[in-house]
Amino acid sequence: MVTFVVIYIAYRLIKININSVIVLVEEEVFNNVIYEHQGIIWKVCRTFFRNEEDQKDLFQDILYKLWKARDSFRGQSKISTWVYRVSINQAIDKSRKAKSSRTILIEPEEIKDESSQRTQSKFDIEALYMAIDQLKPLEKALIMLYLNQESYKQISEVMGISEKNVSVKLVRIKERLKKFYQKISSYDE
Amino acid sequence: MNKDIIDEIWQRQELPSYQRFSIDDIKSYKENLSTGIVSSRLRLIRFDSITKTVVMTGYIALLFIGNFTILKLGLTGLVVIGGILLILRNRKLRNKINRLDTSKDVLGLLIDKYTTINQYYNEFILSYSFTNPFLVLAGFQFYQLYKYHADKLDILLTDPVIYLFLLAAFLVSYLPQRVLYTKELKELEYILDSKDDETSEKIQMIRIKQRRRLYVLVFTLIALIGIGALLTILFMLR
Repeated sequence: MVTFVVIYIAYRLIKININSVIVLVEEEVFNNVIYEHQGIIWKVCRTFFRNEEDQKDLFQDILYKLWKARDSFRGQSKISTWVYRVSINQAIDKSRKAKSSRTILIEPEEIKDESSQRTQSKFDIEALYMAIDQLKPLEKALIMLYLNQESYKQISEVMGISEKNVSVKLVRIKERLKKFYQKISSYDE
Repeated sequence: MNKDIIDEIWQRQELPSYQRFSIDDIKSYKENLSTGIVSSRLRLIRFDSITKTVVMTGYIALLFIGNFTILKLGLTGLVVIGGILLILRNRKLRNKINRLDTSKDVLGLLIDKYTTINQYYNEFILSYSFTNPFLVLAGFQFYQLYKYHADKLDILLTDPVIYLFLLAAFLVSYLPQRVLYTKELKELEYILDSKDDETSEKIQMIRIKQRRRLYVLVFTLIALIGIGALLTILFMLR
């Protein structure tokens, strides 16, 4: 009887320790995934929100959603696909509630006064994001994936549309994006 | 302006420096999590289930307080059975909403949300709005018991003014939810709207199914109200 109790207690202690180790390993793995894919998450945040505070809020929301959804990753797709899906889904959900807040573009006169390449680069990326901001949410997600140089196969897996559909949509979106970008950056001339 | 330039601009952008996050920090973000549409709907469904439980308890209490009449028994039966069925339906809707998987592909999740809101949430708004009139009616009965020490349900039901109160109670719940629901549906339709035949067909199918469910629901409600009115008239003519 005593032996049985001792064995049972030992079993429970080992189980608790194993669970703790599993949790620690799980946390470490999750941390590594987030660390490696932060760039993706930041680009999603910037694509959907122009205001820096909103971007930071969305970033935190996405981290929390990724943590909650960690059990849903079954290894049937790439980790980056999973990260993209959760991030874009959360971004679309949040952007439906928020009113679009537009960043004021740096005035061309300010850029002309400062000839630094860095400021011009900042203007260019802001203009590009403002052009992307004119698109609908699914179009924003598509163009962001495309600009991140993801394959059509990956884009199709993230978005849930066929590769042919991805190709057709991207042609239309790129045309519109070029028009918007040219319109916005023509203020610089 | 060409693709290479846009690509170059995109690749050149500066991102915040990479950092490590502790799991405790990530868990604490839950408090700051913006209340999405899904979580606010879940709260409303929970609130409705609690309200329905309170209403059912009130009617059961009224059955044992004051005069025991067949009319009261019938009304209590209707409220309790209806309440239980609708609470079970609420539970089904909550499970459905909880099963929305954020790691699903983007379009798939949007279509799931659209289906849930279009089909099931539409019915929920009606069920939620019907709770208030019964709450008001129970309130009137309790008031009568308190003031006149008598439960005059049959007199209440023959007074046309009471129906105005019941209608107002229904509309006060129904109209704001209906406006919000229509707005959300339109937002989702705007996001999903594309020149893509695949998606448009799916949306059309969902709309057709929803219309059918609505017809069945409306006819069922009309039939129940008609039966209720007939029984009330028969009782009064007795």
